[in-house]
Amino acid sequence: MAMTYGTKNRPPRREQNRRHSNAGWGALARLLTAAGLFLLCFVGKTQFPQQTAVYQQYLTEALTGSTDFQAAFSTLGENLAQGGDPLEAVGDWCVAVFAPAETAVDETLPAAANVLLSEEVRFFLTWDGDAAALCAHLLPVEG
Amino acid sequence: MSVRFDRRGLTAGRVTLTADFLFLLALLLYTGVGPVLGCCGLAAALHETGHVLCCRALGVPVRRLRLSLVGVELDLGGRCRSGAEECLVALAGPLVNLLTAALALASPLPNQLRYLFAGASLMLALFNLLPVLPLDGSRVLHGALSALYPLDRADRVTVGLSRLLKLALLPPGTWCAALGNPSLLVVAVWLILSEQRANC
Repeated sequence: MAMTYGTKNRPPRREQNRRHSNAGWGALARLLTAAGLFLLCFVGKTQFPQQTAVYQQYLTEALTGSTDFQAAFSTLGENLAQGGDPLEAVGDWCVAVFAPAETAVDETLPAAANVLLSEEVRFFLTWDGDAAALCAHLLPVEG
Repeated sequence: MSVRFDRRGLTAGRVTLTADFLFLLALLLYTGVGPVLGCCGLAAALHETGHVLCCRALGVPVRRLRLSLVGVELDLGGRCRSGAEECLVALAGPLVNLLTAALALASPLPNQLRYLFAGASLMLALFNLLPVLPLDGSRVLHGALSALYPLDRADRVTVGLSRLLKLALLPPGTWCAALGNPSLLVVAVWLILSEQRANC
């Protein structure tokens, strides 16, 4: 956004230079740290793949859970190639990437309650808005 | 080609490299798997090429290409001349991704590769069309609003809607994270941090 600053409250040029210089050193330190981290990752992954694989798994799980991005993207592309509904394919991708694959188990609940909770969460995430399906799920006909 | 360093980062010619980008790259390199990273990287490069080509066709100067936490940002050195021009420049990237996805699906490449690339390209296009700053969708919205309303009102609505949507992502993101999948929360936090960095 184009803005014009006045000159009345501008700090002296020496003060400006000092501030700019400090900011520059901070940015340089950040850049060098990041470059070092990048090199460390690159060398670690290429030279010591087995040793780094353990930590890689921890970090990947911490960031993405157990999401398989390659499978999610490939399935999306395959659905489109086979002429599937694009909206449905994108919806499936969102469920595959963002929805929890396995619901957390609450140790304070009985096992049956955890199973029921897991089923309800899964139904909620995959429900396509069909009222009949919702009725059948909430009011199952027994016998 | 001049190389210089300032508080923005390391600049060579028109390309500026920031520390954030190296952190992001290190993280992706460490956690990412080759084919996914390669396809997403190629799709992102084609996306930015679309923006640059559109800028050239419309005569909008590209002052700088900035590699940052957001990924790749184009600095146009000010506003586009009109809302329509802003919309066109913003839409060019996602359109290129949609085209390349269609081309990949029709190509004779191995199935695994073309499905992966088409999926990555399509999702990059759709994700960028979200009306959330600093994504292209917010620029399309801003361009459309600025054609209807005064510029400051278009700014306020775009920023307000963007912040609202980011905040709206946090509760479901936290809920999914609590159930074992933090992907949505990571995306929400990344979007919030991206806007803050872009404003610096």
